[in-house]
Amino acid sequence: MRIALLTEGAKRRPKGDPLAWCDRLVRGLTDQEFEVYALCRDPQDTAERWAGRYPGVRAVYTRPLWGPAPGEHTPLRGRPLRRRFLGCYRELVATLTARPDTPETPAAPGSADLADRFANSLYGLAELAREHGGLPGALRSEPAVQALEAACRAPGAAPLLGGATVHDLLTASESLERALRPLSAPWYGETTLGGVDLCHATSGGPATLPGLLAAHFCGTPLLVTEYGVRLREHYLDGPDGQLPVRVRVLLAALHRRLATESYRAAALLTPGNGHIRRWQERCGAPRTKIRTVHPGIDAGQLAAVGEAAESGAPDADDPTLVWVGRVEPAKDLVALLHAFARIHTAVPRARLRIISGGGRADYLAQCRVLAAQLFPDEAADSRTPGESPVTFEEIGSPYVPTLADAYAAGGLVVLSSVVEGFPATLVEAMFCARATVSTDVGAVREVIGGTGLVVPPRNPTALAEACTELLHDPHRRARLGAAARARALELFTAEQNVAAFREIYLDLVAHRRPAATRTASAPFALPAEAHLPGSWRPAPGAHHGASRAPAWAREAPRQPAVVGAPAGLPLGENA
Amino acid sequence: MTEPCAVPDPAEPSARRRGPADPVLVLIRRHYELCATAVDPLEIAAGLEAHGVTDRTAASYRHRDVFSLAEELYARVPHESPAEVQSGESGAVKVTARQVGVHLLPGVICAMAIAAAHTLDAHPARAAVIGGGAVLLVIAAARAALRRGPLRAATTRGTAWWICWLLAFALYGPRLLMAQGGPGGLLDPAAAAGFLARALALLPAAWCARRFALRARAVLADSHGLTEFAAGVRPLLLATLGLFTVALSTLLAVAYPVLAPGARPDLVALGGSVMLGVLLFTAQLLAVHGFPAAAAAGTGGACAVEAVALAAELLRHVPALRPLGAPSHALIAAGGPGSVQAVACTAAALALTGYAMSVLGRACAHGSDRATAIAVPPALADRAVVR
Repeated sequence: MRIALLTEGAKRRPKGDPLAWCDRLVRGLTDQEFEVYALCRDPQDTAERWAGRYPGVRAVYTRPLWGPAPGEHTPLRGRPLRRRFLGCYRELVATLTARPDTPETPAAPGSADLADRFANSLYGLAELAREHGGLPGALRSEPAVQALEAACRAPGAAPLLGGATVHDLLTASESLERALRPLSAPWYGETTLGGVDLCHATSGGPATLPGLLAAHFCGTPLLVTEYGVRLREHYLDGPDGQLPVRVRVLLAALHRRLATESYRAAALLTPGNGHIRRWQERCGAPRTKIRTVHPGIDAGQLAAVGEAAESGAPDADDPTLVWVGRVEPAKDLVALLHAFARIHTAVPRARLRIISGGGRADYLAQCRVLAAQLFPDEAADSRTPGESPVTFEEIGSPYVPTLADAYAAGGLVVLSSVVEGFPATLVEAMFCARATVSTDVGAVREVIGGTGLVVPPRNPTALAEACTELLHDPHRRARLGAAARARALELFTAEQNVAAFREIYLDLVAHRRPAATRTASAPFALPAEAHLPGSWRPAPGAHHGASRAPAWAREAPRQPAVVGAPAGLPLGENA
Repeated sequence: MTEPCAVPDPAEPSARRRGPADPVLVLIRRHYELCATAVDPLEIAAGLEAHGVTDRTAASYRHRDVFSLAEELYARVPHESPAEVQSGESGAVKVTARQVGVHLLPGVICAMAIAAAHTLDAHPARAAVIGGGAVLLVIAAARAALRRGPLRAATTRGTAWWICWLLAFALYGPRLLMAQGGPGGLLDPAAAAGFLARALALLPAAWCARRFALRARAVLADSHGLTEFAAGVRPLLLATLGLFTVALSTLLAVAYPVLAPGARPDLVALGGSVMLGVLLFTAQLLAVHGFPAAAAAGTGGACAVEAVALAAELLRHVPALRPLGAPSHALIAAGGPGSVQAVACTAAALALTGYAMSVLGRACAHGSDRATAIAVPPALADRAVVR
């Protein structure tokens, strides 16, 4: 199969490589051909760099979303084309300027209408760009700015937009042009996205745009995997933070509508955890299409620690707590230190090792100062030198050379975050068969199941009580650790992740309508249901002949989904 | 964690009355800034989650999930009217001493070439070689200055040739048209003074363009409609063109008496010199704001008029074609040898000015990344690596 990985480059990558799972996918599924289609936001993000990151892929295509518009000075030729463009663009901006506080639930009558209009205008612009080009220039032209102004002043627009200055309008139309640049990418031909069997978007939002168009033009199924809510990231730390507020209103509307449309048009959504799933449902994703696929963690180097912990006797004499992770305010190390103060009074031999894997130096210094204040150096007698019960170490230092050593360093792993997405450190601790005490944030409850203690966030007393309880009971610790390891090996391995995607790929391709020119390579090229336009049995009272099949079944077989159809799938595939 | 915002709540009096019956009010006060600047309820939901509010927390505020809590916050908190955008010089090209030097370089080269032509015993052939070299050097220096200064623009093919022709014609055109004439090129005081003044005017031109861009951006931030913007920016354009004309005329008025002490100035030729400068400035301004094709058309048109006049003057020597050259000959007879350039450049400059009045009044000509953005090198645009 040919699989297109649709992705976008981020301006800054705060923690590691969020697309490491894509790399594992490319390496793991060697019998599939992968191609990468990347939207770049950075001059350093070149095709060669992407190709270097994924050595196994067959081809890499990039499209820059930065800098001036490509082909800006080649406008649309001819009045009919310009009129067609303006018709689509007016519809598009009308849906973006509509009041944002109208309920977005699918049950509301107005929202489905707006979503349809957005989708229709988006595909209209894409068709225009595909047939005639010149879209970037048209999006920046004066008539486009005028259309935007008219939409902002129209009745029914968000009240805030009514006072938009020309600067706002201009910035907004430039931002829209950048966001819509994938529409004019030369990617929808037979050799590129038109020829692939499946589009796999590695995040929501803009990266799904090429997949949406491929689904619209060629009927390629689209799979959207979100291991972080792209819409939420747009709100929190998108590159648009410094833009004027009215431009943010428009861009937020664009991202919201794009998310809704991609959830509607996708064949399957695979969120990484329940939190992301809730966001997707909130944005109108139908539940039937959502299938959670947990991100896998590469457990190879942690296996030895886990096996050693399970085979050995419980180490009753190890009252050491370990915290591992990036040092950030969201991890709330301050609460951990306060909790440890209570643990230390209850269990005087207890130690806390804070092992950082990078993060913010200023916050680390702040925590060191607090630790020094709370826990002065102390010694057992008057001859030995004193030492603090709290130590700060780094992964890579002589005492903790690797991540496995970090988890092996203590008998109990603590997670004190107030904000967390998918807690990778918790999963790693589970692989190492460590008992854990964590705060109830993000996907922690979902990940830990019943194999660790969960306490409310920002509650040092509860954290201290749970830790003290486990420190006093090494057998319970061992039992919890063993259960955690079993759970992690079942659910969160990298192999599980790859296998899940292999199944999903086969499933989606099997349901795809056959494309005559591309049948040679695809498995299930001619699925059985492709030959069944409807039921074999004639409807009662129906006459013989062409009227036996319903009207929609007689249409061209490669017609993609009707925009605005109640279910996301084309009607013929529900059978 | 970031500190919760302590903005005084407008609903403060009612807080005391309702008291603990309204737990959301506490949340509003804690996240006031987030709620007041949020653009939609989902942004509040995202912000709340980033502050550690979970569905379980939302349940304690009698809500089903964070989303419905965020919707209540969005509905209850009055939205701040956005602060006016600071239209500073942040986006504009910075002016450094080095840039000023680079912009002065063409003038210096030009002055040195004129001095060299005068000192090398005024041999016309040698002066012609020096003049040709000076034109090429000045154009190269000017392009180097334009590449980084406020006059940086996307160019279309051919513009450089048109400018080359225009400058060369300004130097040697009068002599060719007169067929015998006096000393041409750098030895002709009117032509040389015009050349020098135009080369020196690069600095005022850059200053005028920068001033225009900054003022236009200020108008952009202030005006609330496209028509209002157009009405604000057109006088600005006229003022900019006027300023440049005054600066160029002043330079010429200083340069001419220096090169030709005591001579009576040929006003038509000097006027043509000024109009050539205005034409080049307007064309560059249009190119800066995204209309390089119009700039090329304007300069190309002036070139064509001059070339036609030159050809007609040469064809006059063929007896059968003598009537063809009559109009240009009459023009030269009436206004002197500089009149062809004056007519061509004035017409082109007026046409370009009219066009600029129309298109530079549009908002799309003043985008934030018109002048300052780095163009995407073709090596990076739409790349594909296929194995």
